[in-house]
Amino acid sequence: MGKSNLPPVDCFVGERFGDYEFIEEIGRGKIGVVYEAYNKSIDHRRACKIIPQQNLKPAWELEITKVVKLEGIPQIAQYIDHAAKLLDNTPYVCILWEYIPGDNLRDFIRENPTAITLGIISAITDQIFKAFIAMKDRGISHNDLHEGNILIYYDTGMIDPDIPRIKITDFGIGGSHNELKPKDDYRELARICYNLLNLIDPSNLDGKDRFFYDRFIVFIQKRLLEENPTVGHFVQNPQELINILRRIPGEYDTIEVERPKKLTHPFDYLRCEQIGNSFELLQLLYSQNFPGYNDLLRRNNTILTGPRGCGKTTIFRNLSLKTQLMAGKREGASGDFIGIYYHCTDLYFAFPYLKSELRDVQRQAIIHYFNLSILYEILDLLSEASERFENSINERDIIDIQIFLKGYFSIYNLPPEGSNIIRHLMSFVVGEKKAVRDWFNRKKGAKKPDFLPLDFIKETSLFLQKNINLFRDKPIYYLLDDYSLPTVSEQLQRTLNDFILFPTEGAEHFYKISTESIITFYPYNSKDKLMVENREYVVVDIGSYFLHSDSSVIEIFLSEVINNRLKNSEEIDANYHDIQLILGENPYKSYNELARKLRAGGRVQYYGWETVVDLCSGDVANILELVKRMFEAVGPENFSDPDGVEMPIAYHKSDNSKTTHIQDKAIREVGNEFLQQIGAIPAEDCGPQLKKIAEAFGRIAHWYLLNKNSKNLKSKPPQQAFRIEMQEPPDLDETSKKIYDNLIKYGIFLRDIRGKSQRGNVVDRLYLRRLLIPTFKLTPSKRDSVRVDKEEILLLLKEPEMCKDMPTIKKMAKKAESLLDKNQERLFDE
Amino acid sequence: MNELPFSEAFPKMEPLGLSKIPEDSVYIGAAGFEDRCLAFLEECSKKSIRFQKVVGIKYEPFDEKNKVNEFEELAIKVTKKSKLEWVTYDRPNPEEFSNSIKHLEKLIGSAENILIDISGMSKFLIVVLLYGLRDYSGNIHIIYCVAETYYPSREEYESEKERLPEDTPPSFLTTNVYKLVTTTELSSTSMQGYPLLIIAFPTFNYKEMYTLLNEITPQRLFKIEGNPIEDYNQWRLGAVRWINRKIDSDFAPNIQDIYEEELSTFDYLKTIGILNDIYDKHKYTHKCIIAPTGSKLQTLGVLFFKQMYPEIQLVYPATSKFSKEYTEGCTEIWYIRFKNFSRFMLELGNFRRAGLIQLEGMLQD
Repeated sequence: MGKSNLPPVDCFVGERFGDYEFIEEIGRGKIGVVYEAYNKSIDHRRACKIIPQQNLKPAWELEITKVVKLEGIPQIAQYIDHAAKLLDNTPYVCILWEYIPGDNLRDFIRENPTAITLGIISAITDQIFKAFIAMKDRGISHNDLHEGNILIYYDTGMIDPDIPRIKITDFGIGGSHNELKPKDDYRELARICYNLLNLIDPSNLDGKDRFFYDRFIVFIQKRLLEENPTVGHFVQNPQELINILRRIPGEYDTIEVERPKKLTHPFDYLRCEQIGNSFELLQLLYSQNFPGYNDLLRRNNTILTGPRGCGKTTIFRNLSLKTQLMAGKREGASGDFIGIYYHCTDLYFAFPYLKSELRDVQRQAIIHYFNLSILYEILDLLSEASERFENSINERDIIDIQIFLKGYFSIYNLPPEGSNIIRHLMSFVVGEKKAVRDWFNRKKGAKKPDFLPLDFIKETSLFLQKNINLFRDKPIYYLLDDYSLPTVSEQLQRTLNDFILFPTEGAEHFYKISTESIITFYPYNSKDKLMVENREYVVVDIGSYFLHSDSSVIEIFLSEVINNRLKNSEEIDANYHDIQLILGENPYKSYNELARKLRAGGRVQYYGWETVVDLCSGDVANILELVKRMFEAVGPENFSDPDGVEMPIAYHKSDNSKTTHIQDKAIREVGNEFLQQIGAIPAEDCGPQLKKIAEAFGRIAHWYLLNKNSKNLKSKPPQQAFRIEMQEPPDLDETSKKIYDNLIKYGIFLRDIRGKSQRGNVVDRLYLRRLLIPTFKLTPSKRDSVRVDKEEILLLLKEPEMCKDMPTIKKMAKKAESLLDKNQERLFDE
Repeated sequence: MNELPFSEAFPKMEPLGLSKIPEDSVYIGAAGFEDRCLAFLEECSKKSIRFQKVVGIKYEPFDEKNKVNEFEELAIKVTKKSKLEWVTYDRPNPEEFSNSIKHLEKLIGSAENILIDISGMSKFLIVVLLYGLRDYSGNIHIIYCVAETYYPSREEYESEKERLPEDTPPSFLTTNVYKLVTTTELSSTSMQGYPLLIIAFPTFNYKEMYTLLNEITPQRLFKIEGNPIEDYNQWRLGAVRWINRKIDSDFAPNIQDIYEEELSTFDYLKTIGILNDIYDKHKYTHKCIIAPTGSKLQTLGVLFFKQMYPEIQLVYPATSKFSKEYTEGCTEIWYIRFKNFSRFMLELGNFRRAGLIQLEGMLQD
């Protein structure tokens, strides 16, 4: 007999209680020991608590009388029988209990310190409240609640045997540690919650979990610990408390965040990012009639690009099923695919600095991180779908997903019964993302995680498509937004290109990758293998569609985008829902007429709906800004009065001499500002030089308009060109290539990748951003080109100040050989 | 602004008395180009104060205006055994410096006191350095020298303003914004997929804000506008506002999503308070990014805020070079002493758990 009169370990193995034989000591407390007892004839187990009689406290039978009142309550360990026994000549009391295979919560935490998520804490609290409800009903208390008395077990007889369940055991008759004063159950539950919350790092939670964490603490402080019954009906009322607790996650949606469903002003939220999580609005302001839509949705890996402001993010966010679900729709935009959105700044924040050489294991870590991030987005979608549309994904689906994922994560612990499994999985993924980052950055104590296999996303996609109704038989498009250099660095892209852009057999999942411009996509993999366009991926360049689409297609799209805004604005009268009527017709019948006016040097104005359409290079945000200014000049309040605005918009009423045409002013302002913004581009990207180049080209094109006639028409109208046509591929040294790339990157010129055949070569054509056409007094006619040879383009790139007009260029370009560096490269030989 | 419950825990700024400089301390300062980066060392030299060691920080890309030689001469004078060690801070690539903090710790050795002179330090360097030293268990003494003249002068500003067309904001002080930088340590991946909130401090160089907003488009933007403490400098607040006025129209046409707050350039504690107020309202719904482009003392506030909320992402629009005259002279030297820096930072780190700590107290009652 040792300390506290307890028998030696396992000394009663082989002894019996009725038909049950003691086979192993499984627990040891202050006053007694616990054995696993086995009935061989019926293959059944019980737990037997063996307490030396001298350790028994007065009224020890009270525990039994309490528990028998809770017969049938699933969260309570059930009493079977008890008897006094003489064992090893010592009198004991043996109490037979339901056998519960598993650890108590204290041991569980010790063995799985990282397994505790808010989902688990919430589920355990919920289960304990359920027990409290029964206890309150029977008029009893536990009086000795702590982590050691909460058992976590797995029931092989249940439909989901791997899901941990809890049972409360060891009801007290006084307090532990020889305290006679019974412990208050609610206070002890608060203490358990406190201990569990201490395992959570609040800085590593997502918004919903962070909200729950803070609210849960307040709940414990102000509800669970409240003892004054006059404060509210909830005081020590488990049914009320459980209701309050369960309401917390839903309260997240009531946070005072502006989530407008309509616009106050038609030109609010010109950038998609500003809309944030106002999903209804995101859908309302979207038009799927954008040129290139059908090509984007083809079943292949696609790079989506286009000038800044063309709506890449708007498109991707609207293609995401989450947006559609949050906006109240169940089907995808076309209903036949699943879009899952991921913004790549997450990759930048995870790996802001990568060395120029990465080891294979580091690349695997990056891919692992990417896989986890995509998994998080999948889970987020599933979470929203299950919360909002119960029919689209049911409880069984979620359990199956968990079992599927458990196969990939050996350290994943299933949450207890009643947990929000998806939220728990999301918390787990967040933890794994941190773990891989910590390991990657050699943080003290960080262990190398087991990396997910390269085909994880493929297999997950297949699983979802095969097993979950919501995904069944639909291709999945992973929409990676802003996969752009330098934010998503060369090394990151090389690493991820390895597996993103390689088609995988049998999987109907594709990556749609938006990038700022084609040069911000790095088309190589980690082995320096070139990813070939139209083999590994196709390019959908919205700017290019705007160059080549029929103007009626662009007009329909733009009018839909603008009219959607007008219709969904609170303060716009129905009279002003058609932008075409508001802006009216052009002041010229043809571009030739405009060109002749420009040549004549008379006063030229740019206005009218068609003019506005002509100024769009795909940069919808700029066009919206331009129209916005027109509305502001008229006075937005006038648009709420059906007779408040004279259409088409022209002059202020006070402008009797008609000096400033409202539309013309707005058009010029936006163009000029765009030019200024070019100058503000960081010096590393040659901003000031880019501005000079744009200005130089403007001068040259205007010189042509003034001095040369078009050879393409019999009437010989002034030559009108806002396009550079290179006679041959230019030889660019490092500096000029950088400048050239930045002209494309910042959308100052749009590259027509269809090019033009010149002397046996297909050479790119460069279109000036149309917004600048009025700034340089040009016309939007695409008929003519400014044709330059390789010396001239080099001069334009390197010495734009010299390019005063075309004759000067011709003259200067002859000297341009000196501008060429030794290490030239032929841009289009790549 | 709410009064921070822990504000008492922060040491107050006080005028420096050289008698407060502990024996055998290590001095860390930067060899910048402003007069004030040498002011404290000059004072120490005059009063024959000797440090155990001086660690000088050189900037990359190299700028010939930087007072490297003067710094070296003074440093040798104020160390006992002419112990000067150089480390390099590459402004466009702060990660390298962040990775070399261990080396810096070795240089510091067992010294119980470090004097960190932030007067000549780039703002992001202040954050990277102090965040890197958060496990240092000795005392950290922050030295801050107030410049006599801040450029541009009012006359320069007015004449430049007149010279340029209305729609071209003049850019002063720092030119050629290089790129947006951060370090792994100051990055956070929490709040994946949530909308972004940027808190930034507009300066005379509007290109900083341009670069920031060019790279990252937030849903919400908080501009914290620095209000100089001296009456004769208060015109600068209006000037900075004027210079940055086009940010609203160019980057965030929806004015509802831009918020402006005024904040003293001389109060690191109020900086924490204002950041805390903003963050408290958005911590569940936005990923928060802060660009510490404000004053050096505001930057100190940002550093401590990052320690309180590690989930905050810090970024900085780095410049490739500074303009010729940034500040001139030095009028006063101020001092803040952080006793047992690692414990101070640990306690600050627990701020996020304030509710839990309060609960612990309730359970102990």
